Amino acid sequence: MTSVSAARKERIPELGETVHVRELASGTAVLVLPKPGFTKKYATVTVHYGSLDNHFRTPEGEERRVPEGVAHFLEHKMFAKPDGDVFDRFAALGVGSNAYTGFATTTYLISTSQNFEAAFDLLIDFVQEPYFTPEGVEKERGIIAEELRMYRDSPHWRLFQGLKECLYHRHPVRDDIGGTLESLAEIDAEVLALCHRTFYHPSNMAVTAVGDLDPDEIAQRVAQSLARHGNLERKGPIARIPPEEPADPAGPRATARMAVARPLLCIGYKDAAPPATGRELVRRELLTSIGLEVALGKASPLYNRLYESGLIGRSFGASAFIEETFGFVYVSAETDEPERLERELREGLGRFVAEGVAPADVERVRRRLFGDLAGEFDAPESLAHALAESHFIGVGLSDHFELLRQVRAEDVHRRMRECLRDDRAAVSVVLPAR
Amino acid sequence: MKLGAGTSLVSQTIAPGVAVHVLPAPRFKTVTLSVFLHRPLARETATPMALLPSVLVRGSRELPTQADLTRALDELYGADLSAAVVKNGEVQSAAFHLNVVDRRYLPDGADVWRRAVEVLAGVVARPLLLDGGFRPDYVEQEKVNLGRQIDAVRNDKARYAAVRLIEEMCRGERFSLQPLGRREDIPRITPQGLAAVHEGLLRTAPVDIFLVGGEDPEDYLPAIRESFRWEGRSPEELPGTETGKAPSRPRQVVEGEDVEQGKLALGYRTGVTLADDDYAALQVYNGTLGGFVHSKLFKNVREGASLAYYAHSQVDPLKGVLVVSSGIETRNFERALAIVEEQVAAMERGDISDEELRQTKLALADRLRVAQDSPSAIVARALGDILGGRRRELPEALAEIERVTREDVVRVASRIRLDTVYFLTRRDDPRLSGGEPEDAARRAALVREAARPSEAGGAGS
Repeated sequence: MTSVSAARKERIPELGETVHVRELASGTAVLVLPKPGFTKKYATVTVHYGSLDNHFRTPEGEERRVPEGVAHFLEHKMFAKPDGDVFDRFAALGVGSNAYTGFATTTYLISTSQNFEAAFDLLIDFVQEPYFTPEGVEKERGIIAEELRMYRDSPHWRLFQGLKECLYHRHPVRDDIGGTLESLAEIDAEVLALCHRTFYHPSNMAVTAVGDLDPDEIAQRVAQSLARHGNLERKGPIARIPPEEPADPAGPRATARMAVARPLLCIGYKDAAPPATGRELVRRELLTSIGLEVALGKASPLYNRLYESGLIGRSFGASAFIEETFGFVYVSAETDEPERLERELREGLGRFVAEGVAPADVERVRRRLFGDLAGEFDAPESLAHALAESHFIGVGLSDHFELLRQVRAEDVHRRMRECLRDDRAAVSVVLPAR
Repeated sequence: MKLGAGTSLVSQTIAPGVAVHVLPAPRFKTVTLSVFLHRPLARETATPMALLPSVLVRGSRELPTQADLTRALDELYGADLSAAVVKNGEVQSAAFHLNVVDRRYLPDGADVWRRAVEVLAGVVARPLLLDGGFRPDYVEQEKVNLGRQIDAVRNDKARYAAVRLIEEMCRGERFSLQPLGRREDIPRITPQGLAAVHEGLLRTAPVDIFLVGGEDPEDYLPAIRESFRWEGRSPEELPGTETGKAPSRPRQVVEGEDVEQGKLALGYRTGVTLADDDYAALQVYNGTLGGFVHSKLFKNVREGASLAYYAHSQVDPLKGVLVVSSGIETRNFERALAIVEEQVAAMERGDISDEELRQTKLALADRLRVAQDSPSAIVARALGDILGGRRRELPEALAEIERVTREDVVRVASRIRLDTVYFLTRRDDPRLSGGEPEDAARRAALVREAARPSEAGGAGS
């Protein structure tokens, strides 16, 4: 019988919720949020390994650079086992399973109202059991190539990809998560095995579970699975080799032509802030969200002027990626006049940054963000995701509420000055094919 | 038995043709209120109906601008208010959704509910009027936006293929109309005409209101009864949805577009809707064919032949139309089509293993149960049932799925007919210019260049 230590209870008093947190001997974090009354039980294994992790030292100390798209390829191939596809075993239990790859993480998930225990054991087991054959890799290549082709037909994907290629010189965020048709061709069973060995270690994983569940039993099951696989020891940190990325954008502008009804415009601002993690990173994200909502939300003068003049319609949005090693803000819209909209947005945001942020607006948006955070607790999927992401940067969900309370208007203003510099901007457009 | 507890909506009528359906659900942090005003989907009214919600959500008499509305909702701890137009079978509805943090979780126990419902009711029923019409600038701006939204369907190729399939397949049926209406009908909408449509809707539309969340409905219902003032109502009847018939020989439509990946969409007539006893069998049919990752389509098109990233099927529960969709390399059209047809033939032969049947039933039951954790899924299922003319409580729906036999599935399969094959391909695809003579018969009727959606929308005229 494997024993696990007592859980640390992280309370979120505002919402009457408690996260049960444990770190097992092997370094695996187990984060459980009980949801009495919910039918669905949702669980993930999240590996702290994503599309950014292309340059690193192997456990044996050798420096390796691997093709773009390996993390995503690995995610697909983890489902293949000698006795068939793991999807089939989940389906046999009547359990839905899936996986997705991000910049910094890979997530395997199950979602079910039945046979949770068996499916959960299978979930924890299968990510620890690599099985890569040349034939299997070859076949998956065809499926992933179709996935990449599908994205290339998406104007929003092209817009976003064009923007990243302008903003970044070499940081791997500039590559698509799935890689390219060319890099796909370079991926083989050896490189998949290498990346599994390097990154899929229990110390580099978090298990999350949300639903009507017993936190002790969940931790117990994870510990037993790790023991079955001999994964009992903690490993040192993974040696990722950080990219050296200049502060300036790589280029001012990307233009693509494809089958779209009207032009799409996206302006990106490369964040001038240095790398950060922990509460500082969360704080930065919150300040950015609040600032963008004040600047460009539906109550803002700038948004309403652009909307009423017909320059933008309903498909308008401002968002940000603020991660440990990179950050950028982007504003995108469908518009008949991309050049005029670009000018108006850049000038408008320039004025916004110069003029400052009214405390009353910050207070109003703070309330909205509180409502949004509370709403996330009705969605087990986003909750599980937030639990894992927060764990990897070293914070808890309660920190988000606490940091939200502490936000001041002058902090928002300072942050906007930092992340909306016009000399760090780049533009991507998609125009209708001629 | 715990299963059915807390899953039934309790309905009451608060005015002629206005029903409120209530599900207390203290497990949620938020309370959701959804209001639907229904109209038969029809050519003359589809476009003004599509425009209406977006004009109403620009501002009410009390909060006349988008900025006023947003500020008011932000103050209520980020209450979300959205407006949309939706299609269920041959019914088109103006839909309004309000989502508010339950007072149990607000910092000072603030009661934002009544205020939020007043804001919603203002948007739905008390618009800003000038000279008997909506504000002309709002109407003009939203007309432009609606046109853009209709055009933008083209940006999402999978969705575009599905829309074009239904337009071709259901030509002459009301179902061929898109929920957003028709581009060519936008110019003649006037501020006064739209106000009259709104006025008529408030008086004659059947209305369904859903309240999901909270502990005691009596905390929430008074605000709903008092904020909406339903006066002088004489509700009209909604006609049922016609299931339609497949032609004696399937039609084929191939269109060229600037794409890298081809989109295959096949439309089948099942003749079964959610009002039928065979509906559960149809769901098992669809689930086995292409509803899940264990289904025949996923296994054989994606995994077996490595032809596609996605291959799935879905059923419109009110129209009884089944659509198979797949993204493929354009040169693989014939192969993919043959594999899909082979799976459909296997279903008809009863070539379904016990394991396939068991897994499909498990997956369908799971989907029904987990929908209870999502207010929007609860509302969507209940609304479909109401408009489809047959309400099933969760335990009943689960029991029906459980009882389905292979014979039931085969009986449903024997009535399913392929109606139309639609393929969106590269502009340089030789299939567009006819191809070899021996294939011409198979490729059949209709081969032409992709129409712009504005023209395509008019195809039914």
